[in-house]
Amino acid sequence: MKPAPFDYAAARDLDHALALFGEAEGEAKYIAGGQTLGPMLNLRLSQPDRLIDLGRIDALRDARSEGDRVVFGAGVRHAEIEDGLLPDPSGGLMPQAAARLAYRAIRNRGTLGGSLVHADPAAEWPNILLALDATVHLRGLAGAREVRLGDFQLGYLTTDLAPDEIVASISIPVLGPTARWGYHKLCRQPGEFAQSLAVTVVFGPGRVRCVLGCAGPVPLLLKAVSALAGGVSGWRDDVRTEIAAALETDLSAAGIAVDAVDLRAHAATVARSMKDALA
Amino acid sequence: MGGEGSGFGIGDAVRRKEDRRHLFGRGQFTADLRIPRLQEVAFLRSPIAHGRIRAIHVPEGLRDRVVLAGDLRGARSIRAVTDAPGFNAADFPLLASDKVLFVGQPVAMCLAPSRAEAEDIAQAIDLEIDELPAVVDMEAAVRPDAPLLHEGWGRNVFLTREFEAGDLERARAEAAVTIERTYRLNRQAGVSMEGRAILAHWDDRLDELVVWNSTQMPHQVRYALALHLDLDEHRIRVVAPDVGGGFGLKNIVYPEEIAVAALAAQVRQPLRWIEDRREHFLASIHCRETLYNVTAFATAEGRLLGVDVTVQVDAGAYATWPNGPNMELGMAIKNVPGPYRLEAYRARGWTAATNKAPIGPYRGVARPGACFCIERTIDEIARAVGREPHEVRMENMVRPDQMPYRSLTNMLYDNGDYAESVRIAADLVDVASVRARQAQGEADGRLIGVGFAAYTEQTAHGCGEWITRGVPIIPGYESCTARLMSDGSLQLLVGIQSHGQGLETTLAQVAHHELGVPFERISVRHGDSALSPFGMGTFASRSMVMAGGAVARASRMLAARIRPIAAQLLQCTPDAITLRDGAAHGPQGSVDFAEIGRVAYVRQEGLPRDAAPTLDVTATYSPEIDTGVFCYSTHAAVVAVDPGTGTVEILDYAVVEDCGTIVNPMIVDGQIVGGVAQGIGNALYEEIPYDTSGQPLATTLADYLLPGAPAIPGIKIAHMCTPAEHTEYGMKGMGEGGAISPPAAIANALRDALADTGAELCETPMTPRRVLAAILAAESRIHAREAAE
Ligand SMILES: Cc1cc2nc3c(=O)[nH]c(=O)nc-3n(C[C@H](O)[C@H](O)[C@H](O)COP(=O)(O)OP(=O)(O)OC[C@H]3O[C@@H](n4cnc5c(N)ncnc54)[C@H](O)[C@@H]3O)c2cc1C
Repeated sequence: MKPAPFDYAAARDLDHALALFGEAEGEAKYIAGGQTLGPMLNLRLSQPDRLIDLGRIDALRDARSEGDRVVFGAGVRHAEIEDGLLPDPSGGLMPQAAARLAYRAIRNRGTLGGSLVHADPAAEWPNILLALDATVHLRGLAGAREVRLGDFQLGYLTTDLAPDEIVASISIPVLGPTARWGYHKLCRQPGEFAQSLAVTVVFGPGRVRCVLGCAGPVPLLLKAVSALAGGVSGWRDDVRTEIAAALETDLSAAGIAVDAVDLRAHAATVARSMKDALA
Repeated sequence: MGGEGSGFGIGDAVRRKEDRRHLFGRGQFTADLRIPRLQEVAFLRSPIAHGRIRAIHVPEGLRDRVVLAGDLRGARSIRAVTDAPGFNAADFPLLASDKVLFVGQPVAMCLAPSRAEAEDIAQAIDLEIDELPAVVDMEAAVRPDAPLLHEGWGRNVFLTREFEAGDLERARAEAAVTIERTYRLNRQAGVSMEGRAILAHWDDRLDELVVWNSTQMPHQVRYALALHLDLDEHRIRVVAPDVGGGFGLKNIVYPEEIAVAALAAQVRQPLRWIEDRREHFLASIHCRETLYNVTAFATAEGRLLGVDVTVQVDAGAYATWPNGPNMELGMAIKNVPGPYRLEAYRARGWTAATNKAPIGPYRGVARPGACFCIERTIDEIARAVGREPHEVRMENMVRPDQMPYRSLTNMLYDNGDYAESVRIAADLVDVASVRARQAQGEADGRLIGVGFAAYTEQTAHGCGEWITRGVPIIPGYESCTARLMSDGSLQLLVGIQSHGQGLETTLAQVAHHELGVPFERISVRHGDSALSPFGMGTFASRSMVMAGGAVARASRMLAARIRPIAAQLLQCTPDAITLRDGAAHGPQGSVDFAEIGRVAYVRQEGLPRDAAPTLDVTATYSPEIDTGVFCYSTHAAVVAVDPGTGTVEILDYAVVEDCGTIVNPMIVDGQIVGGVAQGIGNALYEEIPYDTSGQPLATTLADYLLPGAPAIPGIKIAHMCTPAEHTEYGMKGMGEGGAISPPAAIANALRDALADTGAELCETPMTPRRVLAAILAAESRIHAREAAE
């Protein structure tokens, strides 16, 4: 479990990173926290010729409020979110989720951008940031562009990112004072990836986004479930059967088949996230 | 005795001598060694489960860094032959050249100054294999149409066994209750913190092969190397430096190790191979994979009448050295009756060969499965007759007045009060309060339940028992050289290998107890075949009893040599001398051990006329009884299960155990906690599934889940201490036990929690998915019944 040989270059800033990419021979790859790419290199699942380290770019570590949004540099680390060191657009959702994401040692290095680019449907940020309706800001050799997160995640571990492109920042709308949320992660042990992960954000009356992770190749924005949640006032236990039915509608609309066991577990996490958001 | 009341004798919770170096990061593991000219080895391994090697293309220019089977000279394939009747043997090649039989099987060695470069070489080799259909399922493996792993065997079966005693037909006829179940323990790995490791080099000055090996049994490794290489045994030195856990998986001599040693001797080049985690999951032994089909008969009161069981073991592709896969089956059959009075018992079983990594002994060996089988079944009997499972358990157990009790399977339970251990465990988890809480229901909707599982653990078994197992090496004794130095300090040289058991501490406690040499002036040296007399190593819950016995004997021999010298110096008779506080005391006056040592080594003129100089004795020890001494224990678990997600939390866990006389209570408790943690892994987390083509699906710690600290509850421990009659001080072994009961205790607690749903868990690990599936299956049974009515 040792990586194949590669050449390493640390970028000073985004332009330098792009230049390092442009001049590279063979395959070049960016590395941020290395908490996903490191193991992949060691298992030789990834064998780039050059690694371009984004970890020393100050601009990527920045987080600031801009009007009704908070903009996070892609290099912001899970632990910084957990510790409440940065502005929080999510009314406590992001810090709470960060605290149960992996282990502290990994949170100390793993980054928001790395997580979104890795695009694991069982990971926290791709799901939670989809529920929060985040937008990613990209820089590439051909210039800059921005993409809504829902359009960024294309498939299992696949995004709309071109090989040369860098996620520079992520902007997230700030929740209003009446917004509510609920979040539930089902995992086999603290620190493990989720087996089911559901987040419900109530932006205002009738405006709900409920997202489910782990069920399909990408995080799923559950339309029927969201509509159901938008239509009820407060939480009633008997709404669980309706949730299960709405979830089945959403899954079949997405062309996803899950067996009875997974369906039961997903319905439970969705219901719990909704209960916390509505109760 | 010399060490009584000092705080460092038998029974004292002495802090471990070995902790200091580990806490300061100064342990010395094989990977820490620095040797000039060292080359690192990476193995190229088969990516295919079953196939015929067509070609191995080594790129031009790399040929001298790659070693294939044909390049090794004077090294033989491993052939573990056992005396078990009908055993099918097959060579386990050091490097495969013809067929490959499991994913991960070594095919070539690649040499380079660093491991990363060695892996680059491995990656550059092109391995052409014609794939054959893989045999993955143990039940399919033994069908007549299954492809054969070892041509020449008629069936993919290593061995079969049958056993019958008592009148099973009568039990069947008299039974008011009949329970039929299938239980499955899935395959898992040992996952020692340090993987396997070996460094071998030729010492030109001594003209010998020096092998540093992360092993539980350095002398057996030396024996094995002499067996497999063209080298006289006197030219081989095996050193086990610090060993980061073994659990049985380092009680084996593997092809990789013989290949590295052979090549180092052949090319006179220092070589090292450090197993990485992925290789560990691929090619260290696996364990546990067994299938039990059981039918049990009982009276309307829950009295066990008879048990009929079929045991199938999935042993993987090869037999490893020395014991192969034959212990699992025999021990399973022997241990199903457990602590119960059983009058009729029939057992049949076979050990199948499949295209998976070989299995071998792992902490508990076969007994977690046997315990699961009988303990789940006792619970089902109790439920069928409407009684508390722990009460039915107590009534069926062998009683103290029946001791010593010879079980149907010919195990001699020496002493103890089994039912009392259940009673204390029930108190510790407070069954009454669990029942009250269940009646009330949980605010969060979870269901709680309590479950028990008891076992007997045969420990420190001697020669006769091992012969019945048909194994080629009979580890019926241990040895010790005790050396009082010229300054009165003491060295103990022993043939066991301590890798977490704290034997550097406990063996010193024994010598201190016997001789009164101050504890801090006693060192225990182990793990080096050049230093210690031949010993078998550390496994089978044997070292405290066996090596402790050898240390006691050697200490007494030493005392017998010290007394006359002291008597001469003190002008009294030897029998008037007592040894304590680092000195020999006579009726008038004392002489300290430093003076005795000085005389014995450098002032010969002070010795009695007939006393030989030096104070250096060697003793061996075998317990007075061959059938072992039986530790026993009852575990009780209280769990909460979330019926929406299948998640299980352990709320409370209690262990009551009797290992006879306790040498160091802190170390015993540590062994229990560690064993229970592994048992919880077995119960809830650990598994290596294989897909239908024979690819293992858990080969990193991302896929193979170990219990983390939050998964291990605080464990309540209570001791009963019934000294053994046939060992020194009344000690019994206990090292493996903690790992035996947790799967059964937790499964029974889940059964209790889910009683209203009718769901039960009959397979390990009990993952949330399996728990949820059991609940759904029970629900659909209820729906089907309702629809029918
Ligand atoms: C044991 C363990 C447990 C874990 N558990 C969880 C968990 O429970 N939940 C969870 O969500 N995650 C978990 N993770 C993953 C962890 O959160 C990672 O840190 C994260 O997924 C990747 O972030 P990184 O900064 O380490 O990215 P890296 O590993 O450095 O990179 C990952 C990928 O993203 C690319 N990349 C990184 N940054 C950028 C950028 N700015 N622009 C373009 N491409 C970029 C890299 O090229 C690479 O392809 C776990 C990881 C481990 C090792």
